[in-house]
Amino acid sequence: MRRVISLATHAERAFSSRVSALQKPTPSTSSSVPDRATLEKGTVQPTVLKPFVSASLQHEDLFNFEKLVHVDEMFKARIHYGHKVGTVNNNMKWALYGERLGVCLFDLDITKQYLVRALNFVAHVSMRGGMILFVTSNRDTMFDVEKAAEEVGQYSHVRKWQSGTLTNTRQLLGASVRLPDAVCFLSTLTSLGENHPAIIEAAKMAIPTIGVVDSNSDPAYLTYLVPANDDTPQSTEYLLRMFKEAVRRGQDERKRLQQGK
Amino acid sequence: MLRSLLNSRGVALRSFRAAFSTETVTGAGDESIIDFVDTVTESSEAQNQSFASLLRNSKFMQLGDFNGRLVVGKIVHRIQEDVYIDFGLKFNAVCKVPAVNAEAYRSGARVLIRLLDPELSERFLGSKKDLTLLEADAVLVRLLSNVPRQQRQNQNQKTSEVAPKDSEATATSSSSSPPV
Repeated sequence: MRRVISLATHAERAFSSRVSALQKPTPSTSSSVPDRATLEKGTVQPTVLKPFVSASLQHEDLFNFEKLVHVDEMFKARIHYGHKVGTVNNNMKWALYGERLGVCLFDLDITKQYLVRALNFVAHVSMRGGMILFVTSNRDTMFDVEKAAEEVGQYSHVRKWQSGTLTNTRQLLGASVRLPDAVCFLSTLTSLGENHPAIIEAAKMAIPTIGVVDSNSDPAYLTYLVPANDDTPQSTEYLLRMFKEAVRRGQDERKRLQQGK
Repeated sequence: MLRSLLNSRGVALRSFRAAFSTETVTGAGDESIIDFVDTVTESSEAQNQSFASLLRNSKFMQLGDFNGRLVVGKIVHRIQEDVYIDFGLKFNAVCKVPAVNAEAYRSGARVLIRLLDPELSERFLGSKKDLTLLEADAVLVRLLSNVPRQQRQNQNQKTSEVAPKDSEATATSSSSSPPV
């Protein structure tokens, strides 16, 4: 089936045919519910459950973000600049291309791969009507983040994080509240160089997270990582543009599916 | 070329009134620097280049050792006497505005800076990681004029009339700034 998909030539038509082709076999495969033995095996080795997952979720890049993300655009947006080598986090070394006179540089090929994966996830959430919360603690880019989230009808939190905002909503807000379906961090460190408290809270509430991690960030507890520069406004602007496009593509697809029904 | 230009400009800066008279002479030099920088940073035939070749041919690599390099930056922000200068790397450089001609250092203006450190970070005793200030260290050298060539030629007559007014304005601001 994947070969059929890749054979489709025109980008627009390829997409619509891809989704419609994927939707048809879904009922037939989902009718075969995994039996008890497979489920038990799945607790140890989750990949055995992959055939039972919806076909649209199995596609690596359903919304064709590979064509949207360009290395030279990222380069111009200064995505590749990291911090000084003395501040580097050991768990971020996998994403680095190297170091130039003490300045870390990200490998944009790795960044592209991870960014496409994160965008695909965002578009899937948005296609299913999910709520995405954009979070940052960077003072330079907070207004850009707020504006970007508002433009695509999503939510943002850029001020001081009150502890328990996700974990203790009953006490803080006095009613049961819908939590976001995904949290997207445009910077994971506070100005003091500490991890953003929302990362742990989202992990506790089993909310998947997308995190733009710089060379000095801690990637722990984040679901989807985007190794990139999170300090320069141009870089955040570019990433926001990409995330907005992902949300829009998901929303458009959702509209199309609802009208199709 | 740059050095000779700087020397001529340094001489010009010694007497403030003389700076205005030489402005028209050095103006063409300023233009050529800005044009050069624009063409170098904004060349974009590199659609299908790999990251490695992009990086290899980037200004960042050509800069070599950062310490003491002269770079062109753009003022993106000004808070009282501090200007934040974006020069194309990760962090902005924060410099004090000189007392002379302080009004000209507003956001959008192009300046020449001497880069000392692209990121101010230091390891404090007992810590495992550096502490970073999230800003670059640089010394402000001078202002680059930002007026396109045609406008400049048109305004040549006007500047000679406006110049005395400007010098008065900056003189008053420089005299009033120390108490503030």
